[in-house]
Amino acid sequence: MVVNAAVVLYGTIGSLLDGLLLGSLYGLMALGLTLIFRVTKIANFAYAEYITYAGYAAFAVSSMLAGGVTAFIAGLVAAMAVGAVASLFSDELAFKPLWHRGADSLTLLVASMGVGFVMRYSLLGAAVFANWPLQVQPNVANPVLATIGGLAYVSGAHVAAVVAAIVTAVGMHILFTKTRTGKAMRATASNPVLARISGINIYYIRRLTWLLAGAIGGLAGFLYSYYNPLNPESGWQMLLWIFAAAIMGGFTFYGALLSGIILGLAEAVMGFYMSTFLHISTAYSPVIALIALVLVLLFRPEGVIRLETHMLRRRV
Amino acid sequence: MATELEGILAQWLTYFAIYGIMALSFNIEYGFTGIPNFGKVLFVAVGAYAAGVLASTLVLMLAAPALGVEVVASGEPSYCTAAAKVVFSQAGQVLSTTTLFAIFLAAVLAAAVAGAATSIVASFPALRLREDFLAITLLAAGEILRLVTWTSVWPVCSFNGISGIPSPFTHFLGRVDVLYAGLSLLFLLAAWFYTEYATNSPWGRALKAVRDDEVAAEVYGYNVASIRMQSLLVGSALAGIAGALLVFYSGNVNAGTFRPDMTFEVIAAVILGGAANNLGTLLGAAVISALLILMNPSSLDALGVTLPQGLLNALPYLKYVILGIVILLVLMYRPQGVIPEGPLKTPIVEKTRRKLREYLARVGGQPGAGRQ
Repeated sequence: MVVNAAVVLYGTIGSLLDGLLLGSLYGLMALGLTLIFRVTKIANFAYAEYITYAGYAAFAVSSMLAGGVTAFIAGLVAAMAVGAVASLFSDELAFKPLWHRGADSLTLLVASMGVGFVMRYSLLGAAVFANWPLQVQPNVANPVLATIGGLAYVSGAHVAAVVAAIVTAVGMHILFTKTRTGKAMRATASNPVLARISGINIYYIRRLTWLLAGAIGGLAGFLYSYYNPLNPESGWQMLLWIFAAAIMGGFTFYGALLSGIILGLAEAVMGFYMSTFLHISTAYSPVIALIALVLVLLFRPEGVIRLETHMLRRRV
Repeated sequence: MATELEGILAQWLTYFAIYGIMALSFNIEYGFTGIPNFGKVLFVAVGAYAAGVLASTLVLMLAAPALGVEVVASGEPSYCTAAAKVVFSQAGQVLSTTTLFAIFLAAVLAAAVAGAATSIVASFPALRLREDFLAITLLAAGEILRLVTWTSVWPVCSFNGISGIPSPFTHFLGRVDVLYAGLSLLFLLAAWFYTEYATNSPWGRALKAVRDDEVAAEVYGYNVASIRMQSLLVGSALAGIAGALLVFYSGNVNAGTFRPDMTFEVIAAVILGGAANNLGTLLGAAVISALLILMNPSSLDALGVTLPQGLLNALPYLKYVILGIVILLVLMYRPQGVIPEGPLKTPIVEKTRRKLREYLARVGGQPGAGRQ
C-alpha cells in the first residue's frame, strides 16, 4: 500500500498535537496523585474517581446554563469544588481513620481501591437507576483555533490543557519548595510526630493536601471532559496512565508533568505510525503506556525523570 | 421454584469453588508470604486461555474428521472459525464421556502448568519491588494481557472469545449444573487439602518467616528469593486451575471476563475471611460468591424477589459498592479478618506434645510431678 506523504505529514502533526493534549492531561492528573503520595504516602487508587465526579459536576452545572463563558467558568469551578470535596471526604472517612489505626501502605492501597469501587460503582448505579446519560460532556463549546492541512487542528482544549498543566506544575513546585506551607507539607511527610512537636498542625496540612489534590484532579477532569466525552469509568480507565506518569516522574512535580507528556506523545504518535505503516490496530496503543509503566517499575522504580531532586541538590 | 433454587445453589457452589481456589492461592501469596499479587486475574486468565485453547484444539482434532466438517482457517486460530462452532455444538455425538473427561483433565493440567510458567515472569518484579509498587506492576501486567487479548485474534479470538467448548457432562441428562458444582467442589477440596498440608509444613513456616522479616529469614538460612518464587509458583498454578474451571463452567473464554474487578473480589474474600488463615479464606470466598450470585436480577427473579426496574438495572453495580464498603469496614474494625491467623500445626509441635505426654505418663501423671 502506498502511504500518502501529505497524510503522513499532517497525521504526524495531528497526533503530536493530540499527544501533547493527552499527555498534559495525564501529567496534570499525575500532579494531584504525586501530591497525595508525597504528603501521605498513599498510592491512591480512588484518585481517578475524583476526576470522574468532577467531570460529571461540570456537566451538571454547565448544562443548566446557556453555554459560553459563564458555563465554562461555572463548570470549571464546580469541577474543582467537587473534586476537592470528594477527595477530602475520602480521606476523612477512610484514609485518616485507617492511618490512625497504624495501617501500612499496602492496607491503604487496598482501602483506596475499596473507596474507588464505592465511588465508581455508586455513580454507575445511580446513572443507570436514574437513566442519566452514560456519556457526558459539559455544555461548553470547544472552538477550533487553527487548522493545519485539514487533518490536524488546534482547539481550545489543546491550549487550555497545556497551559493548565504547566501553570499547575510550576505552582506546585513553588508551593513545595518556596513557601512555609510547602515546608510544613514536607515536614509532615517525612516525620508527622516531629512536625507536630515543631508546631505544625498536621491535620490542617493533611486536609489542605487532599483539597488541593482533589482540585487538581477536578481541573483535569473538567479539561478532559471539555475535549472528550466522559463516562463513569473514564477515570478508572486512565488511572494506570496517571500512575505511569507519576511513577516515571519519580513522584516529583516537573517529572510527573514531563512523563505524562512523553506517555501521551508516545501513545498518540506511536499509535498513528503503527496503524499507518505496520497496520497494527490503534487499540494496542494504550498498551504502550502500560508497558512503559511496568518497565520503569522493574528497572528504575525510583523514577526516570527526577528534575526536582537535581535542582534541590544543586541549591544545597 | 425448587429447581430454580437448586440452580442458584449450584451456581453459588460452583462460584464458591472457583473463588475459593483463587482465594486460597491469593492467601498463599499475600497471607503467608506477603506478596501482594494484585495481578491475580492475570494468572487466572492465562489458565483460562490455556485450558480454552487446548480443549478447543483437542475437540476439533478429535471430532472434526468424525463429523466430516472441514475447518479451514486463514490467519486466525482454527477454533475461531464458524466451522469450529459447528463442531463444538455437535462434538457430543462423536466423543464419548471418557474422551470429554480426558480433554477436561488435560485442559486443567495445562492451565496449572501455564499459570505456574507465567509466575516465573511475575517473580521478576516480585523479588525487586516494595509492596505497593509491586501491586501496581502486577495490576498493570494483568491489564496489558486483557487489552492485548481483547484486540488480538490470537490466542482467544479477540473480543469474541472461544465459545461453546463442550462440557465433560455433555452426555449426562438432568442437572448438569449440580454435577459441575460437585466436580468443582472436588477440586476445591483438593486445593484446600493441599494448601492446609503445605502451609502447615516447615515450608509454611518459611513463608511466614519471609513475610515477617526478610533479613531474619535470610540469617536463619532461608533463600528468600527462592521461597518467594515458590510461593508465587504454587499460587499461580492454583489460579490457573480456577481459570480452567471457569472456562468449563460457562463453556467460553472471553478476555472481557478478566477485569481487575475479579482480583478485587478475591482480595475482598481473603481480607474479609482473614489473611493467612485457610478456613477464613474459604469463608470469605463463600460470602463474596454468595454476594455475587444474589445481587443478580435473574437469581432475584428465581427467588421470587421483585424490585423496581431501575434498582434491578443498577444491581450489578450495587454489588461492587457493597463489596467496597465491606472491605473498608473490615480494614477499619477487624483488619485481621473474621477468623484471624492462628498458630501453625506443623508435625513437630504434635510430635513434641506426644513425647511430652508419654514422658509425663512415665513419670506419673501431673505436669511438674517429675520434679518433686
